[in-house]
Amino acid sequence: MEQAFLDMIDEHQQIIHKVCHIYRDTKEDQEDLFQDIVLQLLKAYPDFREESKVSTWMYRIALNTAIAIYRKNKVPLDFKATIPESLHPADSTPVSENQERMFQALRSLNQAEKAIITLYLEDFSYREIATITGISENYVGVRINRIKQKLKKILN
Amino acid sequence: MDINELKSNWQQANIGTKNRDELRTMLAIQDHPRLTRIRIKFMIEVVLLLVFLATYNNMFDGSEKPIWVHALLIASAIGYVATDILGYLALRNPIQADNLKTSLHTLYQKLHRIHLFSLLSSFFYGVSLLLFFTSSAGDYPPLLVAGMALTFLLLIYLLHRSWASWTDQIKETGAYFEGESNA
Repeated sequence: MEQAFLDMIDEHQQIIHKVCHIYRDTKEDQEDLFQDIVLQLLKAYPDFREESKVSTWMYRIALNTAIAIYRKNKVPLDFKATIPESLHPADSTPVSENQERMFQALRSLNQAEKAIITLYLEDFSYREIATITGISENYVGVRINRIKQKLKKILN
Repeated sequence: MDINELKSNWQQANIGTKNRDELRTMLAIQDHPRLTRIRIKFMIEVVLLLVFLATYNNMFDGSEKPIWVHALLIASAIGYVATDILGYLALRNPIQADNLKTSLHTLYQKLHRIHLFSLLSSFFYGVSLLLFFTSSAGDYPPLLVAGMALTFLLLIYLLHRSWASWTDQIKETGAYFEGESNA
């Protein structure tokens, strides 16, 4: 079982990296969250029936973990501020300026908005987003429109 | 940057890669360092309580105190440890349901209960200790007792703040998903 689980995490690890990147500000916190998510996935793995897509299952657990686990409140980062090079994870692929701008904008959203827009950006249908979040498809549409407007203001 | 550009940036983003050895090591640990730190804190508290329960009778003239004070002290110490364990279990199992809305709702209710239990058990434990030290006349100077009472109140307040910052985070996010039913 461990080998199959490892293969799955290896193949889909970008999901976990992206969730960690928008839910935590520092490299240390991102590493902690990565480990938390992997452990929650491992716990949930025996019940994973492959009725849903692996990515749906992983996003559900990853977002749930990122939101539910206690983190200390920190002073919010100014999304326009330049991130010092030293804060970029040394073992990470360097992200482009545009991508860093995107991550900073996404980090400025609240926890629930981050979850909804993450799924939208990943091209999940409204129906799938509704299933993962537990809200109706109509309400997903309403929320996505509001978040898009908010992001437009932040990015332009 | 428009929304399509944002989508394309998101889907192309490739941030960090862990090799199989790193992932394997992560799985071998089986417990998060954060949980290990909390478990160590709980174990220290439990050991200190056990040491206190084993020695208080001789060290603080326990034989001169009424039986009901002993019973209260032991019951409150057990209650305190029990809420510690409940808190640890909640930290280990943050995912409560298949979707975010239900999971956060259930987690919030659970944390809210543990928060209350935790405050009550700490208060009960503090009161029991004070009763123990004041249950026979002329035991300790009133100023010392007042100082102890204030210290307990401060500790209980700090405990409340620490629980409240977690439950508030969950409540706030849960309320966003609940917004539909409130609209």
